[in-house]
Amino acid sequence: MSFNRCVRFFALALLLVTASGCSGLHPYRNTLDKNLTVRTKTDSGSILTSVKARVDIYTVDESCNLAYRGSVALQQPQVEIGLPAGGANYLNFVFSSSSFLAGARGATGFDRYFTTRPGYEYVAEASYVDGIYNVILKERKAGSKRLRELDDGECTPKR
Amino acid sequence: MKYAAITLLLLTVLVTTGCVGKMPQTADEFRQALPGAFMGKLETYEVDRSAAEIGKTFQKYAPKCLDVSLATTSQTSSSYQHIVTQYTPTVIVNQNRSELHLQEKHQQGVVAVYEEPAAGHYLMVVDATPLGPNKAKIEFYRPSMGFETLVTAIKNWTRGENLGCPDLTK
Repeated sequence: MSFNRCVRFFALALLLVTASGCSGLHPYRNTLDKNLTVRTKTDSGSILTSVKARVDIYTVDESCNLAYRGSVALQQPQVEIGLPAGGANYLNFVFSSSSFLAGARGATGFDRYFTTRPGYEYVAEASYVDGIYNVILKERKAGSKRLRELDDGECTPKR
Repeated sequence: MKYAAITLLLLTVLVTTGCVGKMPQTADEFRQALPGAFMGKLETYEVDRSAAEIGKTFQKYAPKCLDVSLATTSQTSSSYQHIVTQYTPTVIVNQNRSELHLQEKHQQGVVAVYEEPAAGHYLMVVDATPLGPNKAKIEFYRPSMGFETLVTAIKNWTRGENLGCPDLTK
C-alpha cells in the first residue's frame, strides 16, 4: 500500500469514527496571524439533504508524521485561519451529508499537503455541489492580487 | 451458514448459466463484453476538447478521487451488512487515445464467486479518441443504473467543466 493510499485510508477511518459520533475532534486554536482564507460553497441539490463542511488541520514533521491540531467548521461562506508560517501542513476538508427522511449519513474528504511560506497568503475554494466536491488551493504574495493555483502536494520523508 | 448457502446458490446459478470464468480480466475484454451485458451501457458522445487535455484531467483527478477505500454499513432490526470496497483507477494516455479504467474490489462483506483481476472487476472504462485538435469522441462503458454521481463527475472530466470528485457515499 502506497504512503498516500495509507494517508487516505487513515482519513477515511477518521471520517468513519467521526460519523459514528466518537471522533475526539476538537476546535482548532485559531490564534496565529491569519494566512488562509477558506471560501466554501455547499449545495446538496436536495431540500431533504444537508451538507456541512469542516477542515481538519494537521502539521507534518520531516518524517511525514501527522499531528492533529484541530478542526474548523466551514459554516460561513468565508473563514479566516492562521496556520504556522513556514511549516508543512496537511488539510483534510470533510463534507458530511445527512438525509432527513432516510436517516442516512455520509462523509467524504479531500486532502491537501502544502507548505506555508512566510509573507504569503493562501486561499482555499472548497465546494460541494450536487455530490461533486473539490478544493482548489491558491497562493499569493501578501498584498498582491495575483493568485497562483498550487499543485497537489505530496509528502516526501526528509529523514 | 447463511453466507455459505448464498454462495452455493450463486455458484450453482453461475455454473448452470455458463458464467463462471467469463468475468472480463482486461479493459479490452470489458469493452467487448459490456454492450450486450445485462445492466451494461455504452454511451457515446463528442466533446470540444482534445483527447490529450482530457487525459490530463483524468491524470489529475482520477488518482485523488477514485483511489479510495469505501466502507458502507446498513442495518435493520433483522440484518447487518458491512461492506468495504477498494476502487482502483488506471489512466493511460498516448497519441491514439486517453483511457480511464475503474476497478472495484470488495474486501469485506461480498463474496466473489468468479475469478476477477487482482484489482477487482472492471466497473467502468472511458475512452477519449481524437477527432481533431479540439474535438474528441467519448466512449463510456458503464453500468446502466446506479453510480449517478460517479458518472456525472467523469462526464464533467471529459467536458472540462464543474471539475471535482464524486461523493461515493451517495
